[in-house]
Amino acid sequence: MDLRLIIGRLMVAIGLLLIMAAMLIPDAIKNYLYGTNLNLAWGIVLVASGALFSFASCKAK
Amino acid sequence: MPYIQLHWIDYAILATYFAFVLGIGFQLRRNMRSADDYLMSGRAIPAWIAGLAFLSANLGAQEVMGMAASGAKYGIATSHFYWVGAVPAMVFVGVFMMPFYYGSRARSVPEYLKLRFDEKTRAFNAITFAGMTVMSSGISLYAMGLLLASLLGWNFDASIALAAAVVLIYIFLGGLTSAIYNEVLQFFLICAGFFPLVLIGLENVGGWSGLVTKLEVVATSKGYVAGAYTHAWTQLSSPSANPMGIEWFGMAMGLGFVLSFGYWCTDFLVVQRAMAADSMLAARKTPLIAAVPKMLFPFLVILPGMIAIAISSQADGAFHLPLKPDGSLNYDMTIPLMLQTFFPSGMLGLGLTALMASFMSGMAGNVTAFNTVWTYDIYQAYIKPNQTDSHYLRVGKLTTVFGIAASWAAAYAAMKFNNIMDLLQLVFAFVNAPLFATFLLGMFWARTSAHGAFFGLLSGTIAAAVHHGISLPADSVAGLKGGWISTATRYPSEMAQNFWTAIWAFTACFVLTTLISLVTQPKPAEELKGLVYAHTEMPKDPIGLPWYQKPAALGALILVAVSLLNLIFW
Repeated sequence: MDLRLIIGRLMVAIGLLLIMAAMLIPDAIKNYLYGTNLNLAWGIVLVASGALFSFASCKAK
Repeated sequence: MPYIQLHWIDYAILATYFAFVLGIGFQLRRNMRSADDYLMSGRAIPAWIAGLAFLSANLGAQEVMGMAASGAKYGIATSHFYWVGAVPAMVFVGVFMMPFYYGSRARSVPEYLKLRFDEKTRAFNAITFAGMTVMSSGISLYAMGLLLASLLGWNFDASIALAAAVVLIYIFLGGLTSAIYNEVLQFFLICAGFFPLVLIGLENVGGWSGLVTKLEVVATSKGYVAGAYTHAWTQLSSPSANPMGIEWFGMAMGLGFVLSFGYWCTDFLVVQRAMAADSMLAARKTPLIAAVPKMLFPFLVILPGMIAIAISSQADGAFHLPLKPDGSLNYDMTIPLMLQTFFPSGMLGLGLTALMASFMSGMAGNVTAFNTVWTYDIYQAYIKPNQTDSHYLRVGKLTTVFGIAASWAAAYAAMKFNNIMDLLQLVFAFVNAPLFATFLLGMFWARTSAHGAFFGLLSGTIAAAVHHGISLPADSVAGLKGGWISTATRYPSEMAQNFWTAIWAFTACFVLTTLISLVTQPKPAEELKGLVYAHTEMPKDPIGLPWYQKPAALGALILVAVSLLNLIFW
């Protein structure tokens, strides 16, 4: 069992939930960091990082 | 502080994490074929996983919340717990001690003591360690239940039952490997959950320069010089010049040497992760890999505390730490309050999941270390030796159930006796500090005898108790805080008292072990192969290994980096 794949999947799953939150949660001041929607920005970062972990795992096989 | 209102998306993030944690346990259960697989991960864990688990085993939520609280209370000087009180010891254990732990093929720290000395030293260490791990695990569970009840309004009993059940399932199925994998997940969750909190906090206080300016105002308002919260060493010339109430010698010797080396080099909870590595090289690299994120963690866990106290000082009054019943600031609520104030739903779920993951990993780390010590060092050694491997595998699994049940009971004991946490910290300091002297002499001086080690260890523990009994921190009454014999010495802070207690314990153990060893018979040289520096061939790095992967070079690089951090924040 490759832990990189598990980390990758968990990060993608949480990242997608954050992106969903960015679309569903009512707009409020604390949704923003430097003018960017925090859930959306961090969701994208997590999805991208998760994809990198999954890619590293697949490449190692 | 009002309850945090969670959105369904927050619960979805928490549920996703639980699904992954349990999934790891179910996936690993088919690999658990022998007691060694279950209790030692079959010594098959790659260095990077063992390294991150080594770090995370010490990254329970109490640690995370406690360091943020200390950041708020003492400022950047809290980083001493990382840059002085952890990284040098991690380099030492990786470069110098791991060849003996791993090379001796001992399955635990108490077993190393048996091989190096004798049964009585092993028994002393195994029994105290087993007791302390169960209590630590229970206190972790209690703290989690208390936090969830006070933050979210969740039922205390249901919260700890849920967490205990999840930890039980994944350890019962996947043993140490499952605990290690989940510790690595926890590491990434902490990074993912707290990094945005630091960014938001810094934006709020006007960046690093804004933070420094605000903390200068806080420092002068409390009677310290302007840089007391943003300089780590400058104010350590006198205990009264810094919020920690400690001077540089107590810091360097008490924390930087005795307590730090006592914990990172001898505590089986962390050392077990390195001993599960898949090779000698991986075992030596484990603490070194852990040291790299460890030296950067102050920016993730201490900085939020500093930001919190700076924001609290702002005139708008929008953010204030809650007060304790005695009217003092409740610094422990720094992280929960930061999460509640700055994170929207979604990110809030991620932050809380990171905290819950830390609590559960902290508990799982203790339970897996308890499993191994109970099964190998108590049950196999004294209760039922010479049984089949499958018998010990069953015992290991049953010990998991017992360990969780005992932790649960300890959680309720902690609820009934509100001094139990202080008591455990005290016992921990009494036992761990002298143990480092025993290991230092045992590994690097072949003349150290079994009687010397055992009676030195006992004397160190007694010396710690005596020092605690005759000293008291300022503003404390005699009792569990000290002074139960007399109050011959007053320390400006509890931390100063702890550091000096550790120095006494180490010195007494070191001197007594040396003296007794000189008049008693040491083990013959042929029995010390692989256990003592003088009789062990140090492992050679594989030919063709790049210089930056060699433990000695990596260790030197880490020490240079941590020295630079100390200089930057001097």
